[in-house]
Amino acid sequence: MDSTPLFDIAAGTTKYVTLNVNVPRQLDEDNYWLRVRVLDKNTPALELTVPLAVEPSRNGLSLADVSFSPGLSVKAGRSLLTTVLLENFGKRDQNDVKVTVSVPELGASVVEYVDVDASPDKVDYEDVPEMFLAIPATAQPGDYEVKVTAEFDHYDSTSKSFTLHVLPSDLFPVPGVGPAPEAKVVLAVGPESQNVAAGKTATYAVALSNEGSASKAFSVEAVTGDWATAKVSDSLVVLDAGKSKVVYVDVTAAKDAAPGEHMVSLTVKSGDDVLATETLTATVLGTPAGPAGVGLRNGLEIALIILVVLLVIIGLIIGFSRMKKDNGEGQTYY
Amino acid sequence: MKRLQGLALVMLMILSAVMVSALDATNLRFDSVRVNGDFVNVVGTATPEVLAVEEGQTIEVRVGLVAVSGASNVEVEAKVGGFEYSK
Repeated sequence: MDSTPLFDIAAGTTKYVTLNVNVPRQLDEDNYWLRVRVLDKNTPALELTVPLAVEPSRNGLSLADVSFSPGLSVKAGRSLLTTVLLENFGKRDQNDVKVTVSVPELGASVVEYVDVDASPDKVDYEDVPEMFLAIPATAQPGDYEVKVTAEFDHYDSTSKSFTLHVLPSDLFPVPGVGPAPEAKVVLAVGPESQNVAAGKTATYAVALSNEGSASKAFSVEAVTGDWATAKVSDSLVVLDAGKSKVVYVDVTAAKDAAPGEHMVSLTVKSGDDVLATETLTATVLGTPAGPAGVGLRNGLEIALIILVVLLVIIGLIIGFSRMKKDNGEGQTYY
Repeated sequence: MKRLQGLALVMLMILSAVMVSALDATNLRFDSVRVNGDFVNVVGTATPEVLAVEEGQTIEVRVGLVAVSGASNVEVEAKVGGFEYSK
């Protein structure tokens, strides 16, 4: 059935209208009437009749049903499972019907061939084997046309179109689209505990690994108390996904730092988010350095060495003196 | 009996008057009918045609309408009926 919208006709004029009427496939092979009616608000309808002799199709095939799994929203990199039901309403068998499911914009398609027999009961149906259409992982999110086409009898074809909504891929996230990729960083410090003399510097090597799925900028901060100052070689590190970098943390103990174990807190952030923390340990040695930079122990060692040297010199002098004396006494006897 | 005939005549005259009034109100007639681009002789003409069509086929019907004294809020519909699921 088809009908026109409302319109007016001016006096003494002719108005042409066009209607398109589909001859339903449910009709029997018989005579029917096509009725054309002209209607207005409140007067009897004007009608004309065109007799039709309906014949069955020689080659008649249609897409009776098309369904998609998981639906018409699918993530890039996943597959779209398509199930097609074909209807043969013609008089002849249809062999090697080519059924194609495609997303032309993505260059993706899948094909199946199937035979659909004609039925004496006028209509026969045939399930096409399930078709998996792979959506490329690099497909941009958005709406795409999915076209299902059945080609038969060499020249004929029938098709239906649907709109497929492609969601962002898990593997190739698009910046600004979908949920932000989770940032993840792994720290490795070696060694975590070091000894340091007051006024001296201990250096800690810290390896940062970006275990997230996207490139990230990380800020590295080291916090000490009054006992020391800390300096990071690279306070801002940009790492691609899966990449690593080593930064160095120099901890300089104050000259008056109390001996014993002290802590250095290391924090790695991405923006305002704290991703990882690590505690470094520095043991300040018990004897602080003297003003000249020489310790008591070192002083005693030097004094001992000087004493030994003096003793050796005195011994040599005494030895040489005795040798001289012995030589003089021998000449007197002759 | 004569009285009955007279009553029937009066009824016929009233009915005719109503029909004429209706035709006057619509003032419409078909000027031409084409199916799939061809002029056809419809039912009511001297030699009505029977058109052979295939099921599943789409028929284009083009009609020309004339309103002698004008018409408003007119619509045209075309339909094949008398089969299952025709609503």
